[in-house]
Amino acid sequence: MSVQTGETIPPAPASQRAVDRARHRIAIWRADPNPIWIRELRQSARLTRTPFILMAITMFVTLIIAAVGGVLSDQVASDKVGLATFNTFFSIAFFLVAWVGPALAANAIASEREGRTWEAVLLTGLRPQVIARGKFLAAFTAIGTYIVTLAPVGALCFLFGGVQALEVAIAFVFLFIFALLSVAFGLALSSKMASSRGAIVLTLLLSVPISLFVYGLGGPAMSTAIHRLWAAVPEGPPVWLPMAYVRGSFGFEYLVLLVGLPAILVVLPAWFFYETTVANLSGNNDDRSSGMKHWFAVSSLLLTATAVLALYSVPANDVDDFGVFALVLLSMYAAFCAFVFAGEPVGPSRRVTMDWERSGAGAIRRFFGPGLVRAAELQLIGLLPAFALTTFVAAYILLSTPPSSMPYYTPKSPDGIIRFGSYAASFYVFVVGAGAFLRARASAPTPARVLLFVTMAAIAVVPWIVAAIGGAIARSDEALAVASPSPFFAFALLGDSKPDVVYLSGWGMSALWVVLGFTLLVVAGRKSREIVAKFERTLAEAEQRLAEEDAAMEAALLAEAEARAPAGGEPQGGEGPA
Amino acid sequence: MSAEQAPELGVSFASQASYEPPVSLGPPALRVRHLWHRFGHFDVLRDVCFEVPQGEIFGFIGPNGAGKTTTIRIMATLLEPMAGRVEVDGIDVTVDPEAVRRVIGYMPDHAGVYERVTVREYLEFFADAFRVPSATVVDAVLELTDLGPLSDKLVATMSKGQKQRLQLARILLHDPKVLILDEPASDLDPRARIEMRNLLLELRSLGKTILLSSHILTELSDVCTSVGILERGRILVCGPIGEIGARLEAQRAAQAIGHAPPAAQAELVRGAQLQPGQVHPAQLQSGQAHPAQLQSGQVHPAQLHPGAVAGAPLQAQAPQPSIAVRRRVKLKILGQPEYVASLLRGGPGVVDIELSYGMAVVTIDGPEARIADMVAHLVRNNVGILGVEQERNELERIFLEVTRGEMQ
Repeated sequence: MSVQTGETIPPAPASQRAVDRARHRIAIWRADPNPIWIRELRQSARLTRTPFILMAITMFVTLIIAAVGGVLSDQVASDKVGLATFNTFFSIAFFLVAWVGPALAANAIASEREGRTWEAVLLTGLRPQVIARGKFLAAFTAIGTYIVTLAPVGALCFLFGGVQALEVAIAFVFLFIFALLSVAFGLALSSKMASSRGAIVLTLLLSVPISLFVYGLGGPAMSTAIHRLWAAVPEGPPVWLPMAYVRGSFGFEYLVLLVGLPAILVVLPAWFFYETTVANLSGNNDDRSSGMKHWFAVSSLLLTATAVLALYSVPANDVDDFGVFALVLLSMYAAFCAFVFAGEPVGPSRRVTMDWERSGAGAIRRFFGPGLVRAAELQLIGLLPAFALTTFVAAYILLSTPPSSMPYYTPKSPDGIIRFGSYAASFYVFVVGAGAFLRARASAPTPARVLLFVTMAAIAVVPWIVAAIGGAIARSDEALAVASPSPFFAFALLGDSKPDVVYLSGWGMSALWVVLGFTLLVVAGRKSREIVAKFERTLAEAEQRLAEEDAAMEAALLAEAEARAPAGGEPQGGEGPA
Repeated sequence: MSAEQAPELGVSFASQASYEPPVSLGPPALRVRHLWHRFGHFDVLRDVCFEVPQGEIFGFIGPNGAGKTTTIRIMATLLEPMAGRVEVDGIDVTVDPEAVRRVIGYMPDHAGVYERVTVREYLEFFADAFRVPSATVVDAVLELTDLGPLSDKLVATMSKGQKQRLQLARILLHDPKVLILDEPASDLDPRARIEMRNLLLELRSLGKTILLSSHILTELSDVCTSVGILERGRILVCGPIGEIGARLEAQRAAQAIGHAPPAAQAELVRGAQLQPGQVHPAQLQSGQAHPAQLQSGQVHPAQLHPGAVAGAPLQAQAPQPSIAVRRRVKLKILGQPEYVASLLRGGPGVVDIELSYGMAVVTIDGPEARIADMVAHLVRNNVGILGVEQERNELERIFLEVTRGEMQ
């Protein structure tokens, strides 16, 4: 039963039907909710300032909406007023959610560490996943309260016309989805921080620019692109997505752009934040890798599929540009993952190994478990095919599209994108190898990550400086070849108008990165094996010593028993006289 | 320990001090064997070995930075040992930390509490977190810790002593066998300390094993059945206070007649490693073991015949000099102290008598029963006894004698 709610957990249903089991799950969830969530709700209920903050925000937003509506109602038609207030309200609400949500969540775990209550929670045996979910629910409930309080103000918009009630409802749904992501983001940061203030400041420092970037790119910029696809969706306003759902024509693009892509853009980051939180809440010797590796495997697969599908859905004229765009996105994702896995432990801890042995873990589970070499292998297995497939599909479409297939189509050579994709994939091999190498030699994840970042930054920038100086002296485009070690040199490999030496140096450098990457990987693997072997030797030595002591103890007890047997007469252990 | 930590460890088991497993009947509640831990390039714990039998209150003492909290955090599964083994109720903390968490209650030093909940709500949360099956447990714990009248009080408004009791209530919710308390009486006023001490004694009577770390030695000597002193990451001495004191006394005596050089004194004590609840064979030979220890099974049969048993554990103990437990007893008396002195002088075990107005301080060798005999003897001779009190400063004396005041 739940002591906090006083509810008794219902017995499991006799029926094994999915519906009954689902009902039972819901009943359990209602009777025995997450204990951390309930405790946080109780604490929040005693926070006297919350109603005042909610009232102030609602009044502020109402005044702005009233002002916008009042000013515009004299100048434009009613439907335009509705659209303007709709955009104003949901823009404000977006920023509110994007800034307040992470700040609320940032306080969640950091405050436990700061208040020295964290260890008490950890020792209750609650799993990190349960703690993470409880904290998430608490922060999400808080930000949800803000959104619900604002709902009546937001509902005013469709009274003016220009937007439909369904669009307003969808906008609110998205507001909750943004809140989910914001809270998950804040929680992931909070899980790493020891100070509440630090967590809040860092979260705000990150969430403000990120939210502005997302708003700018996903708002006005995307609305223009979507307007080209579906003219009914207005061009320019930032809050176009709810209208696209109602006004867009259903088809392949609708499914890709409004179902598939948003799902990926919500699920993958939310999952990543969740795994980050769980990993940070777990002990150093617990399995902190499996969750993140599962996320990597699934997200790599999904991103590859999205890239390939998107290449097939864009016009042939744009395939080369979109192919490069997809490869750039893949490279950014790959670099990010390389930094994430640069913190991987060299091998599984005793605790993890014991757990594997107890549960009879198979090869796949062990492969996804902690381990530097395994992580590097997973990265290569997960993303090298993605680079290859994206490059191949783009090149194939360029090659296979006949000149007469569409008006104004100019056939393009696939050489550029092949060179670009090859260079990107080769450099990725090097990044993975360098990450593994640095981690194998570093005693902690942070130095490895810092060194990797410095190395990558130097490789990215220094060749261009040298090339610029060389170019100024030699006054020749061939000096560009000097910049070939920089990953940005891949862009120089696009097109067909550069001197041959540039392309040759690009191929040469690609080969060199692959060789270097695999060499570093081999060295890292050898070092890891040495460390693991040394650890196991130490462990075996310790176990042997303990076993010897146990044996000596047993022998002493046995000898004692034997020595006492003839003298004692009566066997021991029986019940004595009363 | 993770694999990557191995190269920095530098542990050589061949070089470690010999650890003699104790002779004990039941499985120990806590068992620490060859424990090493390192932060960076610094060995915080070096081959720490000790055991705490079931039902003991074990005082874990050491100067600041000695490694007490690290040892405790390893026992509490919050840190994984780099080498060695720690078992709580027979469960290895490395192998099955979840199971260990079910049998321990850990109260950290200066732990925090949730302020904006009531006492009952606080305990209800932890009851849920521990998956306690019944709400009545909260009531029982409230009653045990005398927090019942405060159950609807906001935690924020409680005093430090009350919050400390609340912490203790929290760790009792899941009925753990072993309580690990890191400085539970720090920052408490005298009344709260007394309350805490009484609570610990009550918990011991309920069968809990308690490991208690504290700097306040007089407080520990009041409640602890045995102690372990840690300095610079090494256990210097471990065992019942009286026995350690007696051992030191014996070594001083040996040193006085040239059997042991002064520098080796602490090493001798380190080598002793008497385990809590154990009685040294020498005591038994001289008939100084308390009968209660024999009845309660704290004395292993092997100890009754140390010479008859071969094997490492007892061989190490055999050459120790014959020792006796020495006590200082304050007697508040009616009448002439000189008369009392004349009655006691030359009596069994009486070593020294100091007299002051209305009081005699008697130094006596032997079991506690001798105190009773001494008092009975005085009463038979018409001496009015107002009070009998054993001097409690023995632990301080031991601590100062075995530690060198070195910081890590």
